[in-house]
Amino acid sequence: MCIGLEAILKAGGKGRRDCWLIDFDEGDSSPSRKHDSTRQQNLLQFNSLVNGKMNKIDKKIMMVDENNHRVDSRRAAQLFSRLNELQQYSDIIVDISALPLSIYFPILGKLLYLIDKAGKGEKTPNLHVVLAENAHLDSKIKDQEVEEDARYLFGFASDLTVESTAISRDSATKIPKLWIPILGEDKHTQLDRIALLVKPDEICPVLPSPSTDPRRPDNLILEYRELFTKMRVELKNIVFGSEQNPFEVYREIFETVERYGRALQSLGGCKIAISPLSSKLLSISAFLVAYEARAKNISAGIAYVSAKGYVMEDSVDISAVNSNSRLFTLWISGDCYAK
Amino acid sequence: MLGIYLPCSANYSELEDLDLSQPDKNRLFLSLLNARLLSAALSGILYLENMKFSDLGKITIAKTPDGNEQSAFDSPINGKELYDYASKVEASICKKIDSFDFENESDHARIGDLEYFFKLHPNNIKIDGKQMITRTLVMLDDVHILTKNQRQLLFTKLQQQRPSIPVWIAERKEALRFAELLLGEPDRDFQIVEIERFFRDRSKKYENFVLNVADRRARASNIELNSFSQCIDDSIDNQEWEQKLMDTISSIRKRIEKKVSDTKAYDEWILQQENQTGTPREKAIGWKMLEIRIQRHSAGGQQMLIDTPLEVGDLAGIEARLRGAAEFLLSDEFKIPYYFGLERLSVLSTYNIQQYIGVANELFENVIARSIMRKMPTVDPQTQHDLVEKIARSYVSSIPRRVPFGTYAFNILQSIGQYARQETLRATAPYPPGVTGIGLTSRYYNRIIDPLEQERKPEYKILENVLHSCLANNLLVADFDYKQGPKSGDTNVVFYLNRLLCVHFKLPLGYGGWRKTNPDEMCEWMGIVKIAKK
Repeated sequence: MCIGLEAILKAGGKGRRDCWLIDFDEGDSSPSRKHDSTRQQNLLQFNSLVNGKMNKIDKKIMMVDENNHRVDSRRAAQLFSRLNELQQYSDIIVDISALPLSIYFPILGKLLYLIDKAGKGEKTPNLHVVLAENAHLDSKIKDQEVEEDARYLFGFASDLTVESTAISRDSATKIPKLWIPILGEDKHTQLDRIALLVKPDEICPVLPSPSTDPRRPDNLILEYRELFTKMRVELKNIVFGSEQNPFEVYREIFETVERYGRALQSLGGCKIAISPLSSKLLSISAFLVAYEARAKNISAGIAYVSAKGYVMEDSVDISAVNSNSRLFTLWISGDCYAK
Repeated sequence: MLGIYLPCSANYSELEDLDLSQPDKNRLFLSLLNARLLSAALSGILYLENMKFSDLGKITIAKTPDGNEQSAFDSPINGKELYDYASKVEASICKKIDSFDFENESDHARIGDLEYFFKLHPNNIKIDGKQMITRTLVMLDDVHILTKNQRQLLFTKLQQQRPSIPVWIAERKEALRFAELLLGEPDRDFQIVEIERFFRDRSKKYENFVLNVADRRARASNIELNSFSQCIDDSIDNQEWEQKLMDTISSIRKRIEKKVSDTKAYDEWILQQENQTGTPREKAIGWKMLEIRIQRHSAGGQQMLIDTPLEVGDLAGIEARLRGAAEFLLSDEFKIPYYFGLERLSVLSTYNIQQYIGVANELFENVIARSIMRKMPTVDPQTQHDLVEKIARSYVSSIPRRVPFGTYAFNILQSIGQYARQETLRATAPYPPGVTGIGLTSRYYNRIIDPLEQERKPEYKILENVLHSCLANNLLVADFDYKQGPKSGDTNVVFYLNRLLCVHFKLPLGYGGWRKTNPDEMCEWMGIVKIAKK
């Protein structure tokens, strides 16, 4: 959790530093409670880094309401309301290492939305995403109590929930639905539930290649062979994208989205659901595709299913594993994109 | 008939989280529901009449001649206009729900009641000026996914406004206060059909239904098969098992003889059993039933003044009750296949077609493998039994990951399963065919779900959530008004294990046997001790 923060502080520099600590509450019965002591250690380390060097601001987000309905995504987006809240900063860095997707996607989406809404000549901050990636540690963390129903993520539903536009204008049949799952290990339950939501006519799975483990794409195909067979996935539909370059994967997916849109135009177009089920690094590619599709009025959104909590295998020595984490930073809006 | 299917699993519940007044949220909800109903109806008409989207203009919806004001438009409106209207309303509300800036998103939501539930009366619908639809039915699915407010609003509107077209509502039984929300007379104003109970009381009908589904799937496969049933070997009355069954009979017989060696009381019973005809399996079950009867009688503590043989009596009633228990105990002790055969396969599914297909698929994979190896494409009973046990293990091990409150659910199911097995294996088989569930008195159950009691005992809230989750995921099946005995005034809430869980815990598959428990014991089973109030 603190690797990104350490790196930023080490970079030095003067000027105002504000740090928003997002405390998301999964509830007393969350399986994550098993790791409360680790969480406390992280918090102690965080406080020791921040104290005296940054203004710490606590922001609490409830994941579910009193009726057990998911409210996390909307509440996360509500952390920021107006552009002028952001204009006091030259740079905003969102560290997503310890955040679930249902929180960091709407945060990034709302920030980009406010920035893009700025008038000509209005000052806007640079927006960066930072994350500490560790494939070995990730493989030891297991989703627990995956939600029964998948959903289209708030802010990224596009018109996938609009049923009337699902009818083709040339016939009375439904417009084709394409599903682009970005595959990672051990996501069978999630894939089954998202498939029930999306009901795809065609699937283009994204596999990480090149990958630090060259056999990883093959292993994923083997792992999901039953799903591929059941859903009649054609091998020629597989999209390969670099495991450590989300911008490349974003380009590959966006080209796929545009290509299907053009090819199926005569049938009324198509609706596309993207499911980031791999690493956080690759999830940024899905975010960029969905955000750009939204801006261009393309029917492409994020289909996702959350988990109630997460547990780590008991055998993991976190401090040892943590030392192998790699820090990534992505600059997704700002001066480097200025025309 | 025009059937309008409307799933409520879409984004309705997100409306409750918008920062709006409750009347505004209600307006958005009803507008969205009506808009979707309208577009589903129009696309349903196109499909039914084999028309294209461009033919929407041929549909008109007009005043009804029955004079019902609710169903009237000021003037006939054509399908294209209606479709555009419905699309506009739906798209504007969905955009508002998904917007980062919803306050500034306008919507076209103006409908405050169930307007289109009236306007879609079949008399109103014309195609090229002619009435083509004779009946309309609205089917609302997954209504339990709506928020509490939305469900309440919907039911209140349905009851108050009484639409002139029939409305079916499908929801999971764990939307526990369903009956309380309905006003009016049951059977006159509404009817509740509990699907699981319906099929449980008509098990043969269910078995035929699922077999029909399986047969069609088998015929659609790429191996030559007329039906799924021809792949499933239904009997162990064959040479392969004959010796094993004869050995079983011999073991039981020796046990009985040893037990009753010092009395003549059971001589007539034993003689009657020795004269029983039938297959080795039937005889083995007969001997096991005899063993249970002797165990029961001797455990009853009845002393006889004179040691004379007891009369055989009318055994038909006793046998009907004991047969299931005897067959299970026999199979369990002597490792004879039990979870096999078409009838058991349908019972295993717990009256859930998805579960049935899941198990049948695994068996069918075995058939395909055998076919590829040029063996007979049938699955023998032992293989069926082993495969079903493997499926059950995988089913149970995935619970903590795939089910909300999965860890607690896993704990409570483990405790129920172990308890049930302990009770089932008792030599007197007191609850034939065996215990496969637990029950709470209605009073205890109401305490668990009572918000005031939950304030006092926060662990009850978790228990309610866990039970809710188990019911929603078909891990438990509930009977909410179980009366024990015809004269008993008390009702109980009985939770039966999913039959696939019964396989995992090595239990029989029949319903009926259950044991009473209480909320505190169930909390202990979950692994929760008393939670201190914050």
